[in-house]
Amino acid sequence: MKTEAFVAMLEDVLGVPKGSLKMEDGPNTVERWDSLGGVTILAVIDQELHFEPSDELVSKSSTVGHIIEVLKSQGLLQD
Amino acid sequence: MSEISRSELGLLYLRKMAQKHVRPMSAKDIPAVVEIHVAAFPGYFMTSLGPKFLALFYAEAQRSSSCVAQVFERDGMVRGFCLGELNSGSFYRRLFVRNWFLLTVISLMAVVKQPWILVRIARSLLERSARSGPEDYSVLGSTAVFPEEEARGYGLALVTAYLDHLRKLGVREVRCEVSIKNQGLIRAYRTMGFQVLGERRVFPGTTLVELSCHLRNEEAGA
Repeated sequence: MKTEAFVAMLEDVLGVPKGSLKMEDGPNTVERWDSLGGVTILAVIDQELHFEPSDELVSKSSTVGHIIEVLKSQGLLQD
Repeated sequence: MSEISRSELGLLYLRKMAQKHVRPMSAKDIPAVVEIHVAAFPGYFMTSLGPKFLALFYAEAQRSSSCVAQVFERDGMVRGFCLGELNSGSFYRRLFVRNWFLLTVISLMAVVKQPWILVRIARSLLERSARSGPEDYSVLGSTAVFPEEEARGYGLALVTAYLDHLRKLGVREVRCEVSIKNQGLIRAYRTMGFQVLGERRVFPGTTLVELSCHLRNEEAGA
């Protein structure tokens, strides 16, 4: 999956306008990125990328950039 | 993706997390549970009574048949816990009757160090004595994770497991209280089926939102 498409999916999950999510955004900057929002992100990764979120991903899922970094290292996202 | 499907997806994933990582609390988990409690609830009444009290409290709860105590374990480490009473009030009465001397000593020591605790103890005793007997609903008393591990769904997975466990036991209602400041958690609870019953001001000026969830036996297809 293209990184751009993944970010668009995150924007949909978090209920923010298209193109508004930045790499440094996380639970502290996005209102809907609360516990349930965080779990839903993991659920989407599980469902759409067929990748069961690893401990590394869960522990690093503090910003959009961190999530993308881990998924790229797994070969699941491309530029 | 619609709001409904988004919520449902999250709830389904929570159940998956719960099945994989939540298990009953055991005696060997108590030190970790106390550590998490102290980190997650700084300044709270029970925390102010000290780690010895907390260890006694959670050990009693873990042994008690009137409590449901569970932990969230990941990578061999306890990351969070939840504790609830099957019938509101029954556990606390038993805890006090069985440990009245030790609890009195611990409370007196805490009062000497922090006199304001006396107000909290008096208020807590008054509130509990105002209830005539165990209520016909479960109370989800504490759910906690290490603060640095919040927003990862561990707490909600614990609540999911708790609700599933109570459904199997035939419990029909669960209540809990959440700080009004924690709107994200209140929103998550509402998504899980809880409804707001009201608000309650507690010392030292914190407002708690009381929530209730009516459980249906899913196997019965109700």
